[in-house]
Amino acid sequence: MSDKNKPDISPEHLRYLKKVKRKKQIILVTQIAILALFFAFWELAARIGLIDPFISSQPTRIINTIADLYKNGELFHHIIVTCVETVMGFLFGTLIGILIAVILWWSEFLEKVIEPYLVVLNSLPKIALGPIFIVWIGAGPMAIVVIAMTISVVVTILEVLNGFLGVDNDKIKLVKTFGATKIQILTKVVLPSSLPVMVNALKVSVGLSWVGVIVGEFLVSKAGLGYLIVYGGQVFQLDLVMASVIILAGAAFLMYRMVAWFEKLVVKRN
Amino acid sequence: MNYVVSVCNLGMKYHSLNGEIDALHNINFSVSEGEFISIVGPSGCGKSTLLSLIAGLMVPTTGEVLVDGKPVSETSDKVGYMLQKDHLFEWRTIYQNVILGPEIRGTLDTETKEYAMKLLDTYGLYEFKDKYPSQLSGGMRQRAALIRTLVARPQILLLDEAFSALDYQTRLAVTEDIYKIIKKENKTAILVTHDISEGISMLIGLLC
Ligand SMILES: Nc1ncnc2c1ncn2[C@@H]1O[C@H](COP(=O)(O)OP(=O)(O)O)[C@@H](O)[C@H]1O
Ligand SMILES: [Mg+2]
Repeated sequence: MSDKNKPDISPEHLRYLKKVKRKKQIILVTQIAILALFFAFWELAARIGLIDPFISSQPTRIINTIADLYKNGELFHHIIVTCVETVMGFLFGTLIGILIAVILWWSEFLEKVIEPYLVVLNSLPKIALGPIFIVWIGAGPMAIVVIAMTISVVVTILEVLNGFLGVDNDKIKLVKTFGATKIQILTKVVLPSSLPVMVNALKVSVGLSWVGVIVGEFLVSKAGLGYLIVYGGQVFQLDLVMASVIILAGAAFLMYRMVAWFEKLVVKRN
Repeated sequence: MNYVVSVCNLGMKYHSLNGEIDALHNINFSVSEGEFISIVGPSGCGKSTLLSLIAGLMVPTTGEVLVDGKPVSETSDKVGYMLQKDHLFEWRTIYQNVILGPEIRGTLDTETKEYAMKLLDTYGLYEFKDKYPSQLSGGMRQRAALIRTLVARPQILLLDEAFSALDYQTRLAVTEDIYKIIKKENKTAILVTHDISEGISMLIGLLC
């Protein structure tokens, strides 16, 4: 049955497919090899005294540090704190950003009024506002989420509003011929055709949110991977710093893959 | 004889900081029921403006448009407007695209859905109803756009260079196709184009 439905694949095409698959495998193997070599070289250099493990750390010490963190139950606590703050930062940043973009799309007057303020906010390094939020909200996870959110919200507003305003006018004219109200223009045309733009803004927000959270944790210094990094630096425990950075890289990579998967799910047709 | 569409002393000016553009000036004509007229004129002579005014998308500077004897002040379901490109929404299936009009008007009932299915079937798009626009050829997309206009059951069809986006071969086929559909559904139609051959291929009356 399944054989019948499958179109005949010519041997040439089969060979081509094999070649593509092979190439992919070689790339993956090379990528893993580079990583393995890097760590092997690092370890070796530390052991033969080429580098000083006290300031450069070394893979075995990093593994021990992670194991220790795990044993006294701190590892997942810090990872989860940082990840939850990051997710909340970019989710709120994206949602609030889209909401404001909708409002500015709705009212051209408001858009024109707000425009210069947005430009200033966009060029301002939002991290500079960190201490203000900490004073206002208190040194805790909420302040960190707000810092992360502030960084991503401005970019989201600008990007998404740009997408909204770039929607083909004739598409709007089309639904107007059917008597569409402004809300229908928004829900039937503007939002769906800007979906790729919104998902892209989300992707950018994820990266910015990591920056906001880590800097926020530097400032608040209570929990999270950013706290471990800054603490490790202060007490000259480079093993802890390196271990945290590596965990951070892994978490950021995983989150990136999840967002890429979400993008594929949502914008499959564009 | 009653006219379905009457255009009386119609004028339209656009204003911008660079000055004003006199897009239409003192236009008069009438169309009777079942008539199919073509209006031919060069780009920028105000053809799209004219159709937008008939459709009630804009308010004229002077004069008025009567549809069924009543002055046009807003869009109505009596008038179906087919734009230059098909503007099918890529995120909707063909079926979801063709029911867009009733969906927006809030008149989407079983009967309308059946009518949409019937039109899709009659004009050879039934098997494609669950496909997305990008999976259709240019001619099929144009037909889908026409069905989307027809599903709203307009008495009058406005066609704005509806076929100039297609290549020559497809256009000949589609023009004939669409002309037949419009005649079969017994609609009054106004076609505007800058392309004389397109105008002539559907010509009943010539203006402009
Ligand atoms: N929204 C608008 N604002 C200002 N000028 C416009 C607008 N729409 C059309 N025009 C101008 O009005 C004239 C007629 O345009 P249009 O009706 O689109 O012509 P056509 O469809 O025959 O090419 C052109 O000079 C065009 O630049
Ligand atoms: Mg035009």
